Amino acid sequence: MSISTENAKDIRNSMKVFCGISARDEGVNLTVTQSGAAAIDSNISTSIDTEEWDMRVVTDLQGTGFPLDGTAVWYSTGAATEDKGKLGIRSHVGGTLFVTVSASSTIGAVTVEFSRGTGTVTCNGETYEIAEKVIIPVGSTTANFSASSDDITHRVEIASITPGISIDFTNDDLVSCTLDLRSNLSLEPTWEVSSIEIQAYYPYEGNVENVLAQMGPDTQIYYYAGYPGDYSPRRYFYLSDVATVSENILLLTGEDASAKLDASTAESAVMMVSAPTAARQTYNKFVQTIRNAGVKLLSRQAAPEESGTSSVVRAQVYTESSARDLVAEMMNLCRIGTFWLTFVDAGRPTVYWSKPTSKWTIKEEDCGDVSIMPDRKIGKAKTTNSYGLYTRMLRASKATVLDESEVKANTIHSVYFDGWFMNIAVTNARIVSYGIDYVTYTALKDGKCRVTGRRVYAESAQKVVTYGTGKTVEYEPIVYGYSVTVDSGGTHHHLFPYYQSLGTRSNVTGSFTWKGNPKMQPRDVFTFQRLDGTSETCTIESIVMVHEGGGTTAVITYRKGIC
Amino acid sequence: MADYITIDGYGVYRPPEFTLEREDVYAGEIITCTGKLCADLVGWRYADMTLSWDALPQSMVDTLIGMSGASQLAFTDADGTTHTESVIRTSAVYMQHRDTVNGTTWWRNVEVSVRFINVH
Repeated sequence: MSISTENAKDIRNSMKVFCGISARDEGVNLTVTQSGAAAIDSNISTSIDTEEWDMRVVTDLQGTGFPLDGTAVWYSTGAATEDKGKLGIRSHVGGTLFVTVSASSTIGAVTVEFSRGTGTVTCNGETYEIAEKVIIPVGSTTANFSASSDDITHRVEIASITPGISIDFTNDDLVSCTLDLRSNLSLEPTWEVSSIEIQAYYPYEGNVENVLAQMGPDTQIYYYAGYPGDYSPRRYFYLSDVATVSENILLLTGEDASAKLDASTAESAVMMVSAPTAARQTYNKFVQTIRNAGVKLLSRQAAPEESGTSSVVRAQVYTESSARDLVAEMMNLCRIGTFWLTFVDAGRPTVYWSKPTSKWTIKEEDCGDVSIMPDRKIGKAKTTNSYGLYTRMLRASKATVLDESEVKANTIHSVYFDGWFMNIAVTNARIVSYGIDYVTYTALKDGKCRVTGRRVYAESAQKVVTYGTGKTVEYEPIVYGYSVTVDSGGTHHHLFPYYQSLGTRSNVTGSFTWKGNPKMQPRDVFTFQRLDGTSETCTIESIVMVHEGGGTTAVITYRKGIC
Repeated sequence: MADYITIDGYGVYRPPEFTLEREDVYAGEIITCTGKLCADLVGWRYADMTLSWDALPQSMVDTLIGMSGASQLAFTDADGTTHTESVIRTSAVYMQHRDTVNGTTWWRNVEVSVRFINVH
């Protein structure tokens, strides 16, 4: 069974969905001691914290006994291993376990996984019903709890105890899971954050109320879906609102890591870009901006190789901006030939530079609510900024003295320049930070500190760029000057920023309802096979995928062409 | 010899007309632009049904009245195997009049509706 074969059917099998919270406290070691156990691993502190080891099926006469199909093994003590499986902590039949968990540092909660048994867990006067996973608030380095069986013919069996919170949902307890995977392909794009909303049946209010408030903004929410043997890669989101439980429904909302771009500042800088390495330098700048914002990339295409030979060098001034605006600007204005700067998150932060090709095929006959909406075309970009759009930035051949001051040792000073400068140097000082229009330094000794730098200035001011007929948009550039690249034949090409690329983007957009494929990403290119027999190459702008009632549907918006 | 179903482990006469119907459960339905229906097959379940008897003894009526929340209904289906399904009662237990025969109280024209919860 695979996603593609199921999607080829009109009536397909229900997709399996897995999602939940994975807020395990990393780097915390647990030590577990207990009393009341009938069976326990000799290396319990290791085995109990290793969720992936299976519980061993042993020749246990509790309840109605054990299966005689060869799956049960003789009970034996000793250390648990991944191959042998583990005993965990198993009580006497109808008995009670008393467990003490000691952590190497303060933990907010422990998650206790029970593989079998019914009854209650008691900790600090609070009682919780035994379930597959029981979350016990801790708030210190030690937790003492008891687990009692309410069935005189069965044991309680603890499979794992892990620091932090771990809650998993499947089709059995999901009410709905909605993913809003977004990009912005409009003709004046900004950055769009993707989100997830999970509603699950969680009838353990007393279990989780106290710990929900402890879940911080870095609490990770995971999601994947598909069919056995063919699941989508895991997507990761981060808790964006307080998790709530109301009438047995747990509500979790999260957004992708790209939300961090908003809070990050891309510092101003001058970049000297040489034609043979222009693509590589621009790509590395792009990756660095994203990483500096705290986004951990799951996939990154290797930087492009050096191309051609040329001594052409151009200065580019990156003014201070939010990482979000700079990333959107670089993606929007770097679309030339096969060099296509792209960052996609939607739970799987990925950066690449190769122009994408069609990855999926969707037939209009399988879609509902098909609509087409043209945007107004853009024919002109202009700026009222004094530096213009295709301004060529030059740098002075010599350094200028920008400031000279008498200072005391170990004092901090900031100097702001009138204009833009590069190669900033300060004598008798250690530079703390600098940009194109300022420097902050710490004086090393009593005496003079001299600040020097090479002026960067605009050669000419081209304020309007025309690339077709249509409306005019006003641009406030973040990057001044432009870089050029050179091909193996020695021809130079404009690289970034390239305002003409705005005119090549299609103004035709559309949307449709479809079955949905959890592997699809925003900015994926697909072939849309129309009812009239024609095919169109389109780029996905957004996917709203809804898993509800056992079914899956998706609403997809797209823009014609490769964007 | 009487045929039985069990409700929460207690035997109840099998209703004279106990015809089970299986219905497919669909979700995520889309009507395409050609009018075609696309959907996800979640599974099948037994259709809602009404259980009715001409007469039941008091002990068996007590079993019907005692149904609360999810109850376990066990029966033999047309495939010859015994199935146990979770059901919820969706109506009151209706009865018309009662007789006492040889000391046993019987209720006539007993009727109750149930809904099957499980989807397979």
